[in-house]
Amino acid sequence: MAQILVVDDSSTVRDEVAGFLKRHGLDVATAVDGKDGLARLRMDPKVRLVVSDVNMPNMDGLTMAEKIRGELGNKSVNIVMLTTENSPIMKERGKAAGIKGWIVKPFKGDAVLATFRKLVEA
Amino acid sequence: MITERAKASLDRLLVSSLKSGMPIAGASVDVTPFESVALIGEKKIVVLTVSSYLFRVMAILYFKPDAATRSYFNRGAAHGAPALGDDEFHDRVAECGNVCCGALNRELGAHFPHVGMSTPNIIDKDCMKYIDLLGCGLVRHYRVVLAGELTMYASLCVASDGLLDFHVDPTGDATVDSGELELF
Repeated sequence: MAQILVVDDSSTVRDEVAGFLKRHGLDVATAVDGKDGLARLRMDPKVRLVVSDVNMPNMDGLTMAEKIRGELGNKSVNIVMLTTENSPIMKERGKAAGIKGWIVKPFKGDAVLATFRKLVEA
Repeated sequence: MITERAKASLDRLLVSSLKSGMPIAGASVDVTPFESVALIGEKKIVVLTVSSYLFRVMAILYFKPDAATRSYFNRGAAHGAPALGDDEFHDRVAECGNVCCGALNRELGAHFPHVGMSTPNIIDKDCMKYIDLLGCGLVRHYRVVLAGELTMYASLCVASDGLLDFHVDPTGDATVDSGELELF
């Protein structure tokens, strides 16, 4: 089963997002920052969608997205940022890294569930 | 120097961000001015900063690690769910501050293109004794009543390196809809 990787340094957000997606029948893993997310992606080829915060310690979400495309050479995984940020400069950087979308926190699961299903099955 | 209309705008933005970011599981929120930080008995604060080349805005939430506050931040949990442990509780309060300050950051970003926001830091409230050293041109405090029964407090502290002047339309809506997925 294709998997969603939720990357956030806040356990509150990880629990909220992963819990919601699991309750709706999706397979979900979590990581605590970009570095951890990258390590999990290296190990697990099942991940088809990454939902990531931007501002995190050790490695931020946009750097992780760039490394997913660059270092890992992974062009197939879909990446969506979930963040309090809404800066056009950050969004442009994300687009250049090939991210699929942007959500401004707080997370509202019902608003994104159908699209997440499509992205994880794509 | 911070102009009067900039002070009013910052005040309006902070109140708006508290009203949008503090409610958990549909709780009501009431924000009113509060006179003095010395009257706030809470021992811990969450501090977040929005900075640009021109100013530094600090948004501060005061909280008590008591049963009522833990219960509020556990609203929406399944019936019979265990009380929050210290780490989980601190993370929830910090994330609440993050969402409030994120709203403030987005609104300021509509007026100042180069703003950046910190991650939340939890420190002792005693640190507020030193806030004067930052030379803030605006310091305001607020009482925040949540779900009609839990009282928390917040402060807005703004230090400016030059003339800070902008205006936020008090009748305007927030510039960003949160929770919606913007596809590229």
